[in-house]
Amino acid sequence: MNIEQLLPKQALTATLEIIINKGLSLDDNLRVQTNKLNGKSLTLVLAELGFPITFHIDANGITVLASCLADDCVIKTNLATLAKLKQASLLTSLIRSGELDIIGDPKIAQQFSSLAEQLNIDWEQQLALHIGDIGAYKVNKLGKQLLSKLSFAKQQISQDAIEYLLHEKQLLVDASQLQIFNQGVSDVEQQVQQLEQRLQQLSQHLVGNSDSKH
Amino acid sequence: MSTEQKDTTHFGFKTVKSAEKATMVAGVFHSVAKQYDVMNDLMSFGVHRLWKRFTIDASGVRPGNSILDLAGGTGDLTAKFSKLTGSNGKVILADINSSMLNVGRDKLRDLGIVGNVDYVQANAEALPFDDNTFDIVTIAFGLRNVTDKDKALRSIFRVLKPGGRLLVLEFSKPEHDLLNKAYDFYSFNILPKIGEFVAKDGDSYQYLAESIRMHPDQETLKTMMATAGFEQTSYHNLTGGIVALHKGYKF
Ligand SMILES: C[S@@+](CC[C@H](N)C(=O)[O-])C[C@H]1O[C@@H](n2cnc3c(N)ncnc32)[C@H](O)[C@@H]1O
Repeated sequence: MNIEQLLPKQALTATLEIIINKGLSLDDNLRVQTNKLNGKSLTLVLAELGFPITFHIDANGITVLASCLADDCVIKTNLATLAKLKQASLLTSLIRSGELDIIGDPKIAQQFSSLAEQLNIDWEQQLALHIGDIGAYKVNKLGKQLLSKLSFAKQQISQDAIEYLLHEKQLLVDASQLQIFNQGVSDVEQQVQQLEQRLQQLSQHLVGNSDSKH
Repeated sequence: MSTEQKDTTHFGFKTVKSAEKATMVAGVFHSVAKQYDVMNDLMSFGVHRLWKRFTIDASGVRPGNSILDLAGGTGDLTAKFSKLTGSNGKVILADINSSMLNVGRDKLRDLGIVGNVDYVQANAEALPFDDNTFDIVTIAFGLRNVTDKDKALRSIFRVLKPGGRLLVLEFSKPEHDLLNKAYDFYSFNILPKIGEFVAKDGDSYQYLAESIRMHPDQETLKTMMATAGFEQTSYHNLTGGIVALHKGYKF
């Protein structure tokens, strides 16, 4: 019998779902915030986990799945990258290097992460309550990594970063590219000036010629 | 199965007239409806919740899907699907038994599940829906109670959209002998006693244990699905094969 048959993924998502919903139900303010996300989902695809985790919000709370659901916002990365993400400036370069990928609307990730930040949950205690102390310790390690993943969104995906991100794939230009571009522009400028001068000379020449004809 | 005469079928270990099985099954579920959820948790140690979660994860549900939760009973799968398919989607909870449907309807209403769920009393063998209606059909712990399973599978195939899929969650055959023996002991000696003690209904739980044993094993059910027209049929054993999730597509 392989371990999959004991449904560890479903046990994890069931536990997360119970705990998060409990946290949500204790905070009216948070429930108002979840309204904004009604019908929306965030999917985390962490390389180490080997399966996606989806958080879906509806009027009654959150559903946590061990599968994909929609393309509202899907973040693909690995745990090592999560750690790196503590440095805000790395976000763009991680995307560029292919270590992190976002499909859909990064604003959704931001909204989910601000929810996660505000959820006042003593994870270790809650997990111990649901699955016993040893299990809690193990799951908590994973949970912390997941949470730091979520809190990356709070720290890193500021409003500015989102705009940055949204345009990253088509428009983002770094300093050296800008220099080359600027150099190019001034080269063209020079060429245009030279061209203008030659045109001027040419037209004077033509004018002179036509004058002499009369 | 081939030795079985056409006008008789199994009701647990008993052989009964096919025409009577539905009524006898109805008797069981009218009798257990009120206690059904409590008993499910007790008898499976809560693991049925994980089996159902596995089914949802394997269903490939997307927002906006039309879903039929057949033999849906007290609506555990319907509740999850309703949230996930959202306001553009639709879930139909169908069951042959009015008592189970009523318990299901009340439970879902209490959970705040409203808007995209319809309740339909229907027999799996003759589904009252148009051809090509659903993206997903699930039947959880229901198929073994159906008198003519092949007919039910054909009926499900008909109402699925092309590209749609059927998920059958059902008790099956444990992979290992030892587990099989332990499970037998549990089913026939302990389960009916819990049924007697908690639900005051040992007979119904004796039937449940027997019907589990008479249900086709993994490979047989897979073949039956293929015969009904399903493609890419596959199954996952869960908890050592005590339960299996079969999946098949209509193309
Ligand atoms: C064990 S319950 C399962 C309920 C629910 N799906 C669950 O997993 O908790 C089996 C259900 O199958 C229903 N059922 C039995 N025969 C049926 C048939 N021919 N057509 C539709 N439903 C049927 C019963 O009424 C009962 O509600």
